[in-house]
Amino acid sequence: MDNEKLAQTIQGEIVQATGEKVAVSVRDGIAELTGQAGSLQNAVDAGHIAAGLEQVRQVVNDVDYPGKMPVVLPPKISDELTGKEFDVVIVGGGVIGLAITRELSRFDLRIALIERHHDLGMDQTAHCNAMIHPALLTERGTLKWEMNYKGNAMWDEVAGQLDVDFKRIGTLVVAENSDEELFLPGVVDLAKSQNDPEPKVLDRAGLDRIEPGLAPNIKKGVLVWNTGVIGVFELIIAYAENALINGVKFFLNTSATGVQVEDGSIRAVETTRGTIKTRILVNAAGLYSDKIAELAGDRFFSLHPRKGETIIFDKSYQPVRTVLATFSMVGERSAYSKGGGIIPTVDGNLQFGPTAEEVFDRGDVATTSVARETLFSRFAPSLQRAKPHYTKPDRGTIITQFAGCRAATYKEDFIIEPSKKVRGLVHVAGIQSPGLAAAPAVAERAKEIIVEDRHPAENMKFEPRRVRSKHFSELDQRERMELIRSNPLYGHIVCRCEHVSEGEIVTALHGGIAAYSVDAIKRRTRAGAGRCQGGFCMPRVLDIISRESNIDKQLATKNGGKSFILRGKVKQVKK
Amino acid sequence: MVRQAHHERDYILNLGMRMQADVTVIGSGPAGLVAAIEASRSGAKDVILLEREEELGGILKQCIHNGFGLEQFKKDYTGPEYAERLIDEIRKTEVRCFLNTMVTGVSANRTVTAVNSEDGVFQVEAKSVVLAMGCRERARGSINIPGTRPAGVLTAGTAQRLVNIEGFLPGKEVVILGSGDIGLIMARRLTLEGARVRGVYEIMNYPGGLKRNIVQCLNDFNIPLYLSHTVTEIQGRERVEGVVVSQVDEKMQPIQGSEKFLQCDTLLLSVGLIPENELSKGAGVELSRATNGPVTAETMETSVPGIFSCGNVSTVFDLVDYVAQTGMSAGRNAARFVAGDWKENGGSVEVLAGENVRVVFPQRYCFRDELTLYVRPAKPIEKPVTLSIAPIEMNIKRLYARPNEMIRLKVDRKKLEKVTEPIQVSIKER
Repeated sequence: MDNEKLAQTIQGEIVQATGEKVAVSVRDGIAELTGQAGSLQNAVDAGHIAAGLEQVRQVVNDVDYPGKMPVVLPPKISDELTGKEFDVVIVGGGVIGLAITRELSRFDLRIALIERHHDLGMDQTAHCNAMIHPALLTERGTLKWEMNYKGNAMWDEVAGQLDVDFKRIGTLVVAENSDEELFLPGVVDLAKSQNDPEPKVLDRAGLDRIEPGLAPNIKKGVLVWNTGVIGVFELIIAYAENALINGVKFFLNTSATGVQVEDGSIRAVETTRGTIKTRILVNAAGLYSDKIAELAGDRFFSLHPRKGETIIFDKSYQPVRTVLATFSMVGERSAYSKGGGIIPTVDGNLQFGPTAEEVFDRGDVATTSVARETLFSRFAPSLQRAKPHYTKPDRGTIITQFAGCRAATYKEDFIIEPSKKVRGLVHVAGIQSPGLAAAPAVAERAKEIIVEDRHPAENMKFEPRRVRSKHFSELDQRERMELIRSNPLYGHIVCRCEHVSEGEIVTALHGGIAAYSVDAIKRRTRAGAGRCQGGFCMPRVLDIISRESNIDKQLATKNGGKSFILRGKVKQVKK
Repeated sequence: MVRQAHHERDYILNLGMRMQADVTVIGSGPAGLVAAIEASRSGAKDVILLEREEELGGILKQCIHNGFGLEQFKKDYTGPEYAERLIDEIRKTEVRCFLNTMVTGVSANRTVTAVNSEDGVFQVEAKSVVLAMGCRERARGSINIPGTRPAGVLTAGTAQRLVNIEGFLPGKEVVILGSGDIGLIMARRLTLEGARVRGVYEIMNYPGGLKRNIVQCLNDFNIPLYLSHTVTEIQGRERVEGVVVSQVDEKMQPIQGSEKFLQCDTLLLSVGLIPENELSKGAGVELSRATNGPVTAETMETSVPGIFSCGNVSTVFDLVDYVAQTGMSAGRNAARFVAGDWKENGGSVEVLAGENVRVVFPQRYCFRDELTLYVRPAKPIEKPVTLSIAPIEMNIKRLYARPNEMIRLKVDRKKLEKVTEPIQVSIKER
């Protein structure tokens, strides 16, 4: 089919499905959509319809709709980075950008990573469910699927070397009656067909060992054992600390604002803090990776942010050990997501989520009562039915709810490829769930692309290991005693709920990726993550931040930017 | 400054990090201070007081308003003055105070594990333990307000610390959710400091705080109180830019269409206090669902022999006088326990909350001490009521019953001597 005909077909399908008449053009497998749609959903549907055609490789969707929010580049702050030069600059400090720093630092390359936030992993990585998915529910044949099953298998080694909590808790699919039992061989076949390691079919005794206390009517189940959970905040820091050991430079609070291309090759990246010279630019900019491609003159895909919300229950409520799935839950999957689930965290907290909703704003992290109710009513009955003897889920036990957006392309697949237009530009884009599971494999693929092109020498001094800093709450009494003797600050407990000492906070503040906000301290140490949610320790953490980083307390923030906690002093007495 | 037990330190570090005591008191707020003083005065020899902060006094230090010690000292002190008075008294005793010392565990055999910078990790084996850890504020997570997570959302108590101890303003345009006493007091305090308090929004159809605080902290400063209202959304990316408030129906569900946007830079939460009982749980102390505190006898003894509790760790009291009274009882009885003055007697009977009663404290009567009951009504009754105690046929007439006013009453010990069935407290309209 020639381009014109293809465009007409797409246009016709869009009109039929949405009633919207948008203009379509196709070139080199890229469909470009322009015009006007009546709603966000219609514009997104139009993009998905275009992407549904096999001949369409990617979709650039410029269809306008009421409420559309353009991506605005931030203003320049300084020129401090001008003059710096690296072999590779990675744009984006999420788990993907970080995993790439690790793979590239195996080579003799000067590497820098720029991150627009004041801390790493602040968008998708911080707002994910910290789950290492099996490939079970990913569509076979996609790049996403390949990265998912390869990445999943790599986590034992990565988490081990980086000293991060990681457990393969497994996904347990249970049959609630004899009719459902008939589907279990299908689950086994599905897992095998998706390259997941052969799952285990369990009888009741087997189920009791893995997930005690299931309802008596549950007699059989399938354990997809390679599902994992990971300490995702620790992982972010671990990747970064390991990269630092291997010589990678990090520039936080730094946004890319332009890409300089000369003779078809990358020359430099312009940022809010100056222009950095580089020959290789890795676009790992997550929710903004289409914008980075555009800045480099290589616009061939669009992202549409899809928000996911999750509710988390109190630590005292731990009804499941596995990711528990019933057939009734599987039936509720939506078109472009895996449907969320009943997922424990590595600390044992129960999560319900995430939801999936197309939104206007890529930065939308607002939670809604609608999502809370949707999640609770979708998963609580299943959980209660599967584990009837355990305390039933209660809305009052929900301790928090969080939201974040997925960086979805219209193809709903990952993009890991060298630019077809600009030499030295590598796109690692459209990475969304199960991006965390896939991260090590994605990074490896990105590395292969760069190595194939540039043939860098190996870094003989590459250090694969990183050791985590000590956490008071994880030590036994003797270790605590020794630690306090070596540094008395470890004997001063600042966060009473999570037993976090001043020593840990000071260490975090002076760590390689210095955390200068209350939330950054929380992500690194758990101070403020407990029952009182920082009510007690927040003023003390502010004191320590101010003292250790030598800034006025009024300039200390909750979470970077202008999120100042204090708004001035109380009235002063005139002297 | 309070004397620290320096001579003990070498012993701790070199000889196995263990020490012995008659009574260990955890927490030096009003309950713990009074309990330690009273235990010492009642004859306990080694009394150790463990405090996690750098000074004694607990939350009193930041309560710079008046109204403390009215009953106990017949004075109208501010919080710090009241604390100072107790600290002066504790100085006259042999109580040894450990500051900057965090208790990390209490066991049922009354061994307390603690940590500080100077001594490291150490244990105190005591004949009796008094739990006086107080309470914490309910935070945003436990009430699940949807929206963004900007700076500027904090509990009233945290704001109180920032303003009164550290001298900083947490915000200039403030909405307060919940009409608990700390929220009311902070409404006044922030107004005096030049902030604009746009209103106090309370989800219930009656206020949570004391009447005197409604009058003195809100009415006197023209701060509106909206009952049956709640905050349904927080807006603002980095700092709070505003909140959406909604009216709620009788099931406390937001009424569609009643939403109103209020511009503000701060949302203060005063939505309840929760007794802080993580240590109690570790010791195996039975907790009450009604109070979230230990199930306690009139002696302040918990379900674990020799472990006592007092003050807001037991149940959230309205007045420091009540807290002090329970502290006094716990200290005195801890000393009695140590002295072996704890003869087995006629067992115990339960004390139950009956009709229209949300909380009754204590929950057990053991025939060992005077019984002082603290009763929190379940709902407001703005009519004459009778508070009756079965089975002893004690009936007390009152003009009204309100959840924000705890009722305290002493029960004649003689009347209780022959009681064999549970004591039940109920409130009825007359």
